[in-house]
Amino acid sequence: MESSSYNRTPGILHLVEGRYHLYVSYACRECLKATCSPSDIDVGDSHSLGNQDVDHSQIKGPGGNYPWVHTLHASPARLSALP
Amino acid sequence: MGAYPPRLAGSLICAPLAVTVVSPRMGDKGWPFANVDAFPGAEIDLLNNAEHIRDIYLKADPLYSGRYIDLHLCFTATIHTLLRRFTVPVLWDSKRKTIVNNESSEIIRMFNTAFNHILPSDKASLDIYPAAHRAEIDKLNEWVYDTINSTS
Repeated sequence: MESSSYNRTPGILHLVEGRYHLYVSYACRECLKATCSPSDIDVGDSHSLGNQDVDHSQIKGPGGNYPWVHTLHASPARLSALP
Repeated sequence: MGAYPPRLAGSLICAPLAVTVVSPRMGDKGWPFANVDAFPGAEIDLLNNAEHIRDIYLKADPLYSGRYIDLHLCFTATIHTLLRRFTVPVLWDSKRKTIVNNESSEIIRMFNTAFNHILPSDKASLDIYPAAHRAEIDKLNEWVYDTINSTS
């Protein structure tokens, strides 16, 4: 069961201990604020969001589900060993 | 540069995910988090308690070896960069404890549709990869990837 703890900050919805987490570079950080206001993310009971799985059938890449690395970043052996 | 589009895309569609920003000052261990380099705006990795982005890669796969060794790049890149590329963006799956993807253009494509079923209709209907422009987008992205993102 996913966590249902939330910590909202301006512009970005944070699902603390939610399923997906994006690590990004510092570049253009200031330009990316406030494109998503907190009111935009009130999807019914927001506390249930963390319990919903994303449709994994839509998360596909060259290596199938969870390619996790672009083909240019990984060795063929590594890609074939992925789930 | 490569990490910018996914965060923008995630913001535009209000993707339900947390975001952590690394420091822009790369050291010999790669991109650090704020607990190592408290650069203004950089953040601490509260999820994995990592010190550098490479810790995330190695948590997913302790034997992660990065990209191919490109002999052409041997003349322009350090061995560290060559053998182990610990780049951002990184989309992390905290349930499976692994990296979903680290290629910005692919992450953007995921964000375009993967969360639609839990987003309000006005956000779910946003299409940042419209079919009518996909060929043009792909062509431009290929140029950016090959000539900017993946060069040393």
